Amino acid sequence: MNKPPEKIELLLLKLIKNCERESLSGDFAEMYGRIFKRKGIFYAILWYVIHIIKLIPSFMRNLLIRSLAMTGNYFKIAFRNIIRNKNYAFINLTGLALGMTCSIIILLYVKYELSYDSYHENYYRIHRVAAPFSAAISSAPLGPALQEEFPEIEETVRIYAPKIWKDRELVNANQKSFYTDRFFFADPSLFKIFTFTLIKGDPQTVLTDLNSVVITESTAIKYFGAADPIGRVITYENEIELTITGIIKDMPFNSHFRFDFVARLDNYYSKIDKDWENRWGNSAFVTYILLPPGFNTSVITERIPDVIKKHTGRENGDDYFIQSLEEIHLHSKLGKEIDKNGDIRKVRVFSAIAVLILVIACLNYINLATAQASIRAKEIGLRKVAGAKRLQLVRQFLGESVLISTLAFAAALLLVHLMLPLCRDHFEMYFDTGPLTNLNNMIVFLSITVLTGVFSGSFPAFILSSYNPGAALKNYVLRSVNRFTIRNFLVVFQLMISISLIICTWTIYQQNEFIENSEKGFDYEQIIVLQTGRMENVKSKVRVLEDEFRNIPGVLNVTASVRTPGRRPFWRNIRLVPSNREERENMSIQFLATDYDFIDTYKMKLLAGRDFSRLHPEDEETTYILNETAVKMFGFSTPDEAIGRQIIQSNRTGKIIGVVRDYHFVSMHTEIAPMIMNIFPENLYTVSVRINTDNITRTIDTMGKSWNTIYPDMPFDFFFLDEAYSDYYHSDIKTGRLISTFTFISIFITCLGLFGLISFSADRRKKEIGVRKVLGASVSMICRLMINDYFKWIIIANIISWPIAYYVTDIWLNNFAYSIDNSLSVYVSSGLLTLLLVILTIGFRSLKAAKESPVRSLRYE
Amino acid sequence: MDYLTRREELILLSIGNLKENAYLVSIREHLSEIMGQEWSVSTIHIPLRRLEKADYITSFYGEATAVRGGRRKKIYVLTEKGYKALGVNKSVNDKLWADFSDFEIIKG
Repeated sequence: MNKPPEKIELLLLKLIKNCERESLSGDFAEMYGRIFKRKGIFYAILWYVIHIIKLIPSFMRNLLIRSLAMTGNYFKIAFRNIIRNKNYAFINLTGLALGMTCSIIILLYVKYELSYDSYHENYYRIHRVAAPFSAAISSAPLGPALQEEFPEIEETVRIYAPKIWKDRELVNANQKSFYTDRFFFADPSLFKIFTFTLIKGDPQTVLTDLNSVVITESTAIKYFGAADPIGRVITYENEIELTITGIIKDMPFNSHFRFDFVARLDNYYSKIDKDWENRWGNSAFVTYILLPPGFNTSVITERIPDVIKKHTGRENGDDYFIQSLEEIHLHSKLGKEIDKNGDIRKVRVFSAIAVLILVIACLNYINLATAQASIRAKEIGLRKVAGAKRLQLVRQFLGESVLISTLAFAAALLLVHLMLPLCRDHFEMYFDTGPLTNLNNMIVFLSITVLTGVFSGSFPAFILSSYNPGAALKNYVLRSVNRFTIRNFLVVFQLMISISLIICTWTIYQQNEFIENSEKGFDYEQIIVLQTGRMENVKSKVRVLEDEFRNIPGVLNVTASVRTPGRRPFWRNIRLVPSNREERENMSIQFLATDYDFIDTYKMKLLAGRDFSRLHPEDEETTYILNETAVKMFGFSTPDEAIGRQIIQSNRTGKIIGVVRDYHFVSMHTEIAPMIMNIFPENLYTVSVRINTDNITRTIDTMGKSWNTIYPDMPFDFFFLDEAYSDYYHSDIKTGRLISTFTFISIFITCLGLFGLISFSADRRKKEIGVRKVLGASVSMICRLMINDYFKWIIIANIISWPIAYYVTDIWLNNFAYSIDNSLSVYVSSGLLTLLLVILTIGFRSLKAAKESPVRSLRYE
Repeated sequence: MDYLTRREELILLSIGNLKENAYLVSIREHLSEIMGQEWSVSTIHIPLRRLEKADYITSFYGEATAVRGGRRKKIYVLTEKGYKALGVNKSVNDKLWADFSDFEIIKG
């Protein structure tokens, strides 16, 4: 007779409910035999398996019903356990709740960071033309030229955002004037490529009129209140009049650029430069293109150099490439972005921290649950005697841990709800609106909860369910060497994470301190900065304003420049003629246009030569002061050697008159670049005023009055340079603060777990301690007895965590061009700090145990 | 009164037709023969369980054969409730068919 293969039949038998087992498997055997006869063994087996699989859904119900039978009892026992061991339950709940709070907050943060720009309908099709060398910008003719070359490009748009150069403009409307740095100029195709919600106006036609402008809802309210702004006129920089044709909803925060106004690019730029659309050399625009779905961008990237050569006849040094919109916020590390980008590394670091903290909390649970094993041995023994299967016990213990993690989750939700506003203000983490009411988020959170429960419960469940009921009921002390090493290992692992985090936090703190205190090369304190602007009628009066300020008591020094230090100056190609060589070399160098007194106002140090002086008429436009790096780049051995050398810059000849010490005019993330200063009245847009600390308000008031007489139609607006300068390190400081908070939480959870473990062993060893005391042991001896083990663990944890911490901090420090060295003292002190914390935690508890009178612990026997 | 689904009706009818020899394999074969298509085991097994629970049918163990590896058959028979349910079903069907004027078209 042909019988089905035994192994497969066994599978069937496992699935079937007892009462049906015989008849159904018989039915299957009979049918198998028939098919075997007709079609052979292969078909028969295939048929058999397929039909078993088809039966599975109907069996599932049986399994479910069977498994629910004991649930009520499990719940009862779990709650009794929580109530009986309030301390341990509290430790577990606190740890898990804190861990989950951190994970949920970080998850929300990561989700938000990843959501940047995804609201655009063409999210996957929008790309940016960027050049890695000169940053996210490109020249005006490039976009149209590419579109001509590649018919696949559906649309292109060029955006001119003055914000890239940290400029801001004055906008007047409805008798109100405000400065803004969110006034953009773009091609009308902007509305075809990106998705903006227009409240008023038609996306197809909104920018067709040359003088049209689209503003955001909040801007409309700011200028016009409740009145309808459509058709009203706004004035840009007191020069260009524009008519409002559309209102868009404020752009979401998770956009890589955000504007408040957008007007026609051709309208604006043709006023500056008639031939702007043919200027291949002026990279001032951000170019976006719309490609068909799934288009291979490398096709375009490869041919960009050819396209540029075709139009200009020259090779272009910039490696233009096509960058997708998805990459921009987190992955593009380009300069000249419109708004600040995020950093994928930060996202990764925080995700790792979230997981680590949750793991520490889970390990606490595992440690305490296995430590309590001997207490629960009787229960397990009895259950086994009454017929519980091992799988049922595993399910019971898993259920308990999931119950605990669900309770912790409820607490975590409350904490997250309270913490979110704090995170927004304190750490500048941004989240979606209403993250806790979002159903998708909830599903994710709940699965994290269940996973946490299962992860922390699986190991104890495995251990506890393995007890031999006979031994358990006979009250053997359930100790096995093996189990203890696992618990030690887990404690070492927790300590290791904590120590690594402490070292990282410490290093970050030191680096932040180093930056704050290191020599910048110029003094940016007590300097007030006023930005005037680039319009002709404003520029021409800058020197008048300077003179006016000089006469105010309380003003120590006044100067003007193209930008303040701390803002990135222009790059220019300079040709230098060294006297020892005939050929002319092209050098790319940062060019800073200044006025007289710049070096004095910023208290820079002249290393050689002299400062610009009004006594030397040639200083107006034809003399130069270099920084040290530039001296080195030009190949002079000493600053003195550079003095008097010729410099040719766009057909103008000048000579070097001085050398200043290097100063950090951009952040310390980047290395000091070669730079050159010269007096250039055409480009003075920023006035810097060094003031006396006495009576600052009066000084500023007087300055305001002078400003208003010279620029009656521009509001007086200023900022303190030190505040602006610290912006560069703002995100480092916030990140440092965030990481130290997480470090603190992880240490807290670790110590909580250790406290639980030590109090457990103190309880268990109550009698032992009593006997020892009766026999004459001192309090300190008993403390040492209890603490001794932990020393060993901390040393092991230190040895493991040092290389890990070194690896991580090294990556972070490489971010900075100027950074501290990894010093051993940080590592040693972090280790000692952990030791101290652990000793404090467990020492407190062991002291309590050791001080207890032996009478109380030995009274009942 | 509960109405039967089409599948339940078919299964009840074949149990009735097969008399004392109605078990999973024979019901399946009977139906496959009449309908001209293979029925999978689960499409019969699941309704059978439901019908038995609802007391439309009852079961007892029949003989064990070598073909079945010495295991007994579970033989199903209609209960009184089952007959009644079939009756109700038929009368509903008849009524609906009687009023169906386009019968000729289907036949042709």
